[in-house]
Amino acid sequence: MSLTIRVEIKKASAYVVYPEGSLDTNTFPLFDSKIEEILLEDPQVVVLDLEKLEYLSSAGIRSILKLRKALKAKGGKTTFINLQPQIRKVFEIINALPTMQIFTNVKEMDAYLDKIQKKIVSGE
Amino acid sequence: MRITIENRIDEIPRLINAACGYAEKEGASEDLLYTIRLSLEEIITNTIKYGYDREEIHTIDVIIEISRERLKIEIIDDANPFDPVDHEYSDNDGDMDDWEIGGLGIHMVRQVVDVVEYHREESENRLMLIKNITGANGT
Repeated sequence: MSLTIRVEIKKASAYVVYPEGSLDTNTFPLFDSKIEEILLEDPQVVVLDLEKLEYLSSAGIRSILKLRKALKAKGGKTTFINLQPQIRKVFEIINALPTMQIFTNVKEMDAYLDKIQKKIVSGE
Repeated sequence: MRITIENRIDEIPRLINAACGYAEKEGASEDLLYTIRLSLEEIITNTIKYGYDREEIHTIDVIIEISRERLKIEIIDDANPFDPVDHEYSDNDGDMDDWEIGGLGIHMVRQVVDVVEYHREESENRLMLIKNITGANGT
């Protein structure tokens, strides 16, 4: 019931976050502090890759929603990839799925990040 | 099985490990283990975070029974009266900024169990959660 978090800078101003283990009432402060570091960099996109996330509690959901809100306020976007069935179920329970941008595969994510990248380069 | 913990968030993993360890021995399915973990994490977090006025040591008792037909979890504490059965859940568009304190966790618990029963007895909250085990009795 522990959490480790790896962060990868995919393209300029796109951060992929890989939480592994359990995002819950005991581990969410670690997630929050990683996210705070990332937010200081003013990312355009944060991708939460949830492939290795085994458990998500309401405290973890709050952390994710907090990230989404903070990033939105800075003009950035929170997106998701690799939702495992048990994690998808949690988002379903709280009826959050319709408001989430979820990539179905890495190719789709890369295409999206490329598009964002081009926008930045061309100064749109 | 009875497990007693103190009112500290860092007691929750020990509680869940003990409860799920017992349930596994009783042959509980993955789904049942998930129900136990979710219920204990959400309910006990709420109790510890919002149930006590002062920072004092209290104990919380959890009793778990598993039979062929059902899982029964009983949570007994001396925190402030709090009835989750009474708790209104407001559906919304997924923007959860307006969720009331503890509402999200309790809503999640109600999705995974069949019965939530609350009694206040003297100075104790007694919360009972029941999940019927599908497959038993041909249901």
